[in-house]
Amino acid sequence: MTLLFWLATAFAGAGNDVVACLELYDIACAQTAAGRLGASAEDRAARAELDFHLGEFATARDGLKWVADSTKDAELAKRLALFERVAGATTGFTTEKRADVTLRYRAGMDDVLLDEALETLQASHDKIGPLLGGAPPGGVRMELFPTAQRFIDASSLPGEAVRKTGVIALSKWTRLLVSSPRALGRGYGWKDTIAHEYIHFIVAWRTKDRAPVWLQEGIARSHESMWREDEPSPLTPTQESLLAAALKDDKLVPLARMHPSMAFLDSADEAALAFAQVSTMIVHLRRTAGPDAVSRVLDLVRDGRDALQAVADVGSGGDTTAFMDDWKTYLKSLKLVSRKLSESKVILDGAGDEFDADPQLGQRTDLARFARLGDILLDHGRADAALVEFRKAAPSDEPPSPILSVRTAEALVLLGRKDEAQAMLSASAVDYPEHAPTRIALGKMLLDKGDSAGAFREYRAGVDVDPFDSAAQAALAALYATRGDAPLAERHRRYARLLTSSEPATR
Amino acid sequence: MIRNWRGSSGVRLYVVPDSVSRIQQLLTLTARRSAWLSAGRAGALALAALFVGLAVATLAVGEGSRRLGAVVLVAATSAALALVFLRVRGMRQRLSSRGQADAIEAVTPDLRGALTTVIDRVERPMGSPGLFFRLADEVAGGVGKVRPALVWPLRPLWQDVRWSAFGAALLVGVTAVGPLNPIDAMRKLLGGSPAAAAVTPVEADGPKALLGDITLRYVYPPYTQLDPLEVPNTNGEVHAPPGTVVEVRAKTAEAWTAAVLEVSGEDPVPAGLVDGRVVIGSFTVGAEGTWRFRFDGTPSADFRIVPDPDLAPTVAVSSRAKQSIGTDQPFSVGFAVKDDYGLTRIVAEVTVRGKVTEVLLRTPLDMPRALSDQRTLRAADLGLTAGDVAKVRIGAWDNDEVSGNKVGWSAIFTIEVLGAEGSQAQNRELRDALLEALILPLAESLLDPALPADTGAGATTWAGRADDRYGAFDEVARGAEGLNRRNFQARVIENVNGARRDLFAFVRGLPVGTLGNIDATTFAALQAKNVRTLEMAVWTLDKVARAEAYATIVKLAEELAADARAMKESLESLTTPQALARLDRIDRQMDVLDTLARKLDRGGMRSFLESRIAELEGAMAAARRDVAKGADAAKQAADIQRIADLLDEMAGGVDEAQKRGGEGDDALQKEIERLDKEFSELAAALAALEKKTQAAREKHGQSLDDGLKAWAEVEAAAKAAERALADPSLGALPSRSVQGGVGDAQHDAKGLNDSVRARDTEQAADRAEDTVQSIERARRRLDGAARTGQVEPSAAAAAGRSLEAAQKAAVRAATALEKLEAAQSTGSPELTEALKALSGEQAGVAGRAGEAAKAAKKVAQQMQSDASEMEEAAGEGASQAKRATGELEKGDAMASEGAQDAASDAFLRASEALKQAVADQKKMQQEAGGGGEQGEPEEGAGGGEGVAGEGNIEVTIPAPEEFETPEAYRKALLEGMQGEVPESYRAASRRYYEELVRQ
Repeated sequence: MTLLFWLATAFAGAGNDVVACLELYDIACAQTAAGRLGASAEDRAARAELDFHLGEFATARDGLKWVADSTKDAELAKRLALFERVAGATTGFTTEKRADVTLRYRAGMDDVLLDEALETLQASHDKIGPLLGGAPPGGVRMELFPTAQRFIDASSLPGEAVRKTGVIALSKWTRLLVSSPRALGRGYGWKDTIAHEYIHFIVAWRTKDRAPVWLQEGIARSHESMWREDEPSPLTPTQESLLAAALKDDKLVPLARMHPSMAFLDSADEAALAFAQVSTMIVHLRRTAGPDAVSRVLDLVRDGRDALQAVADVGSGGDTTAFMDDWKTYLKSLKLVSRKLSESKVILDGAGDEFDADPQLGQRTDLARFARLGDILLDHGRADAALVEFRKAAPSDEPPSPILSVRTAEALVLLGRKDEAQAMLSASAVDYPEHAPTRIALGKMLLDKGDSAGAFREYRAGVDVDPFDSAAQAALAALYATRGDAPLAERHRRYARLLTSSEPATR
Repeated sequence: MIRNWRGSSGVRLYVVPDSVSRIQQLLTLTARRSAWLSAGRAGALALAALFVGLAVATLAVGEGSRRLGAVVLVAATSAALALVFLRVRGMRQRLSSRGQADAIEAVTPDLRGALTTVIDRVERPMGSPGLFFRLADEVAGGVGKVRPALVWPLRPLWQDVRWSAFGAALLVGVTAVGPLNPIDAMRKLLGGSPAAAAVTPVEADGPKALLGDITLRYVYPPYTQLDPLEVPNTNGEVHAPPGTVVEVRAKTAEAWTAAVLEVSGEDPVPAGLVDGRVVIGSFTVGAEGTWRFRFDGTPSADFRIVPDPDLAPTVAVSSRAKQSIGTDQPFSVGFAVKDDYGLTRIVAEVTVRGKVTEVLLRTPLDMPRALSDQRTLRAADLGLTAGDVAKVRIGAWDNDEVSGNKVGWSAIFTIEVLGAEGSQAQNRELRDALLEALILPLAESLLDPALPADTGAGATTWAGRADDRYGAFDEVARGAEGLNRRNFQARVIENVNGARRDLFAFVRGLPVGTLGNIDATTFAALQAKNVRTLEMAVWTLDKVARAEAYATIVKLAEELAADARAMKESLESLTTPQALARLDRIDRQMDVLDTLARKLDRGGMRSFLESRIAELEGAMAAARRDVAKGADAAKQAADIQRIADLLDEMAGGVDEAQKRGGEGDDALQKEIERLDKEFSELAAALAALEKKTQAAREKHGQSLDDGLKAWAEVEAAAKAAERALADPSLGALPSRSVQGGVGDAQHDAKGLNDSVRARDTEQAADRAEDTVQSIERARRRLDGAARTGQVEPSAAAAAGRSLEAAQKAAVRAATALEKLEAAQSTGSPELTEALKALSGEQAGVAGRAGEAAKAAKKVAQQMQSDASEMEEAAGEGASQAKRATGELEKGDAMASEGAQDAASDAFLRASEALKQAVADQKKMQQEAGGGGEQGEPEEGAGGGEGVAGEGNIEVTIPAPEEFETPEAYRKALLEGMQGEVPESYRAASRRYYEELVRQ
């Protein structure tokens, strides 16, 4: 914002108009204002800023460089450094534009994301935008980064913070910056994440960036699945578990602690709890005040109303205490998962060992040791002994581990105990629906048993999280074909080919 | 048959009829028989002549007449030749067809004239063929009944053979009764060998002086270290090593006035005569020969001198045929050397590239006849450096001062000195082999029931089966023999074998019957420990392998990125083939990277790399295609740029991931440091509280004097019980049942002492009672074993005394504990108040202790090495600290002090265990980093790390022999080697005492 401040304070006219529009997340407005820009340093800087927001990084960098060199301004030099970093991070990217969506990404492996990324964003634009009172004009731009490091370089966030908090996507500079599921070993719910970030963009635009973090996150978390479903997203079992425990112990996270960022909370579990709280607050708001309640709250906030008060105004006649009490009552009425579950740690770019990303084993090196021993025994054809080690790695008084469930199921299958394996995977899929290996293993098992509907459900869920599993893509293609959906069958067949081809980048 | 038939009309051909052929066949057979009969008769007669001649000649030579002997021998040989000649003379004629025909006609009168006619006509065809054919048919019919044996019977041959047998019998007779055998006689006739020449024949003429009661006294050369030996009443034959002085004392049949001793090849020397009938002389054993006395010119019989040769030492070496070692890696060579009389030095002969050097290994001071040793050497000790391949053999020199030192050599073995890379590869190979070999023991052990058998017999059977699982492991371990114990792999082997040995030794020592509770508990605990050890071994080996692969990946990824960048920068100057070659090189490195990635676990880094490699492969293929087809420069540059970016991205990701891992380590390291400090502080705080409690007790607790004394009494009694149970008489009992009982008692006594140290009255009382009872059971078992003869009465008596003493001590402890409990219930109100005042402070420390225990658990969960011991100790510390709080609140000073002391001790142990776990983790990291043994400090340099005292295990005591040997050496050496110990220990012990003596 330094450049914007510089421009806004130093100059008037078209440059300032552009900056003002950008501050309001209004690209269309900025583009209109940019038509009046001249060739002065200030105007060139404003042009560069607009180009940066539009994703024309090389142009933005070159334009700002000229200004920075000519003015020798220190603030501009700092801004230029950012532009250069972002330009570097997006080197080799190609641009794909469809309707309201512009996507930049690096062709190659990430081609498997292209269609669904565009479709998700378009659906979010079409379906979620209206729910929140409309989408920002001028479309939506997104960069899809192949590695977390490139995301870090492009986001201006400290690398340490990103890796510590597991932030893998961001809505900033009127763009969405998203890490490829490849940046995480086993993928993540990247499509809902895209929608989530787009919601931030909408909310920021709708409220003139006045919405506090808790409201932003509450709306985004609760609405992130509404590009594909009609109702708000349910909590994950882990969030339910954390919420149930917090309710029982009266240890909910105060809204004030969520400011300025969820990332400053004490732990991943606490952050997950906070997300669960604000998400359910918004769901409760919709429940009590109707589908347009959120949009009305955004209007109030845009007009300067305190966020909680705005929620109370819409949800409970202005009584914040009553709203909060009603919300807690609502929470208590939910059948929350009471099992002890932990949030998975986000491990980026291959850091850590195979168990680090596991919510349980990632915290317990001693148990991970047994799990690894089980793997070694399994690799040596000793499924019987491996099972003993896997059981040691999963004490009954500890939360279940998704990785361990998959491994145990693998051993059980080798020992001919397929029913036990299936039961184990099914239970694990309930606890950790976003653990792709569980879903894919379960899909395969169901497919082997002839349950193609169940297999389709599981493969689809698995591929949604980890689209880089070529075998799963191939299985999904076959299942689509069975269901008579030739275009999607062909699409996933193409993905499978792309992932197994010796020349994926030469597609 | 076709023959020329010369008739009046000239030469013509005709066919010989079958009748002629049959006749000729008979003639051939008879001629053959006649030939071998003639040869046999000639041979038999010749032999007869030779045997007779040889017998006569032997007699003649034996009587000293070599000439006569020679004449007779020549005559006999001539006679033999003549007889042969006579026999073979005229043989040609006899063997001809005509001769044979004559012989046949002589025994078949019907054929007279006819057969010879046919033979003649066959030889000289003439006349009418028809008549000839008719005659031939008639003759053929006649000869059909004739057999060769009829024509040439065997009888004449047998007659000649009888002559031959007679000659042979004569020769045997002469040999038996004569002074010489025919061979010696021939030697004599032919001039003979020196030894043969030395043999002086018994003088044929004149009487012999009779000798009896010959006593030989051998005085051996000093180098043999043999004491003089006197052998009475011998047959006079001398057997001794050269240089031995033989003192001869004998009695004669009649009195003589003078005597000399004659030894073959030497001048006669005067011999002593006592009373004219006892003769004394001496000579030194040299070469083989004879000795005799000569009395007034009359010789005695000759007696043989047989020197016993002093052979070269034999050397057996225990070393693999080929060993590959690092430059600084110690290796072991075991050798066992034997000699007849003594060894002076042991050397290693090293041959490298044709150059031979000798390295002195031992120069034993006492010149033993046998010597075994296990030497730990390094390449430098043998003058070897990296890359050398040496043929080595161990040589031993004997102490033969008479015929000169002789050397014996071992088999040759090869030492290959590896460079740093070779050592790493070797370590890697060994590590992988160990991992593979440990899978079976681990897998099977995991599947064993918690208690594999409920009887001793069943457990022993199980142990036999379970030990078989280690076959492959043992083979790998054998291949690793000689490795320094500080070597990572060697430690793994040692750990596995240690736990395995503990388990199986315990199981095999169990009584055959149903297992008692304590035995079953110990069995299960050792079994669990064994599994834990196997798990740690496998996990650690795997972890190191993965870490090593990871480290290589980091390096390789950086190199790849640098290569790509360099290629990008120099792209314009590269020709197409050069560019393709550079791409090929990158491709090859990528293949290596791909292989390494598969060695990682199934974690994020593996999928990260696989994903990047797949993408890179595509980019490489595109670039190669564009270069090959001569695409424009911009396109090629873009391709290379893409590859460089991808490689950069991959290297960056790998590097970042490594840094992230390191950050985690840093955080853990900080927590470890904090925890270690906390352990120390807690130990100090608890010790300080113990002092305060003690001070309060001393100030206010006059009435506790009795209790104080009682604790002292309990402590003394408990220690006495433990000591008595540790008596060697109990350890040597052959009955497993009794051993089991004693083991239980020892276990209880140890528990009693632990409880006493913790001043835990209640638990100590329980353990005292347990100890009394288990000793009683052991005594009963001992009585039973003595009754059934399993245990010798004397051994049973000694063991019984020890058990009785232990039992008495345990009873004393129990009684004192009762008194103590009574004393503790009579504390003063002032003391109670003072203790309550302390309880607040104690509670604070206990709270900290609880937190420390939790932190210890967390750290143990995060450490790569096994930190369970630290976790347990910290848990115990927290528990005792909490107990101390309770005891203070109750006003029990002694119990509080005990708990405080135990807690303080536990935290000190936790601190030590934490340091050990950190050291283990560091070792793993070093190994994973490729440093391995090469990078380890020298022996003793890392005293703070590793197992206590481990750095001193391989004591290398310099060879002692360069020092003079004081008389005390031998004694000290012998004392030092008393008792049954392993051979390797004996050798080390021996060298140790040799060292002592030198100093």
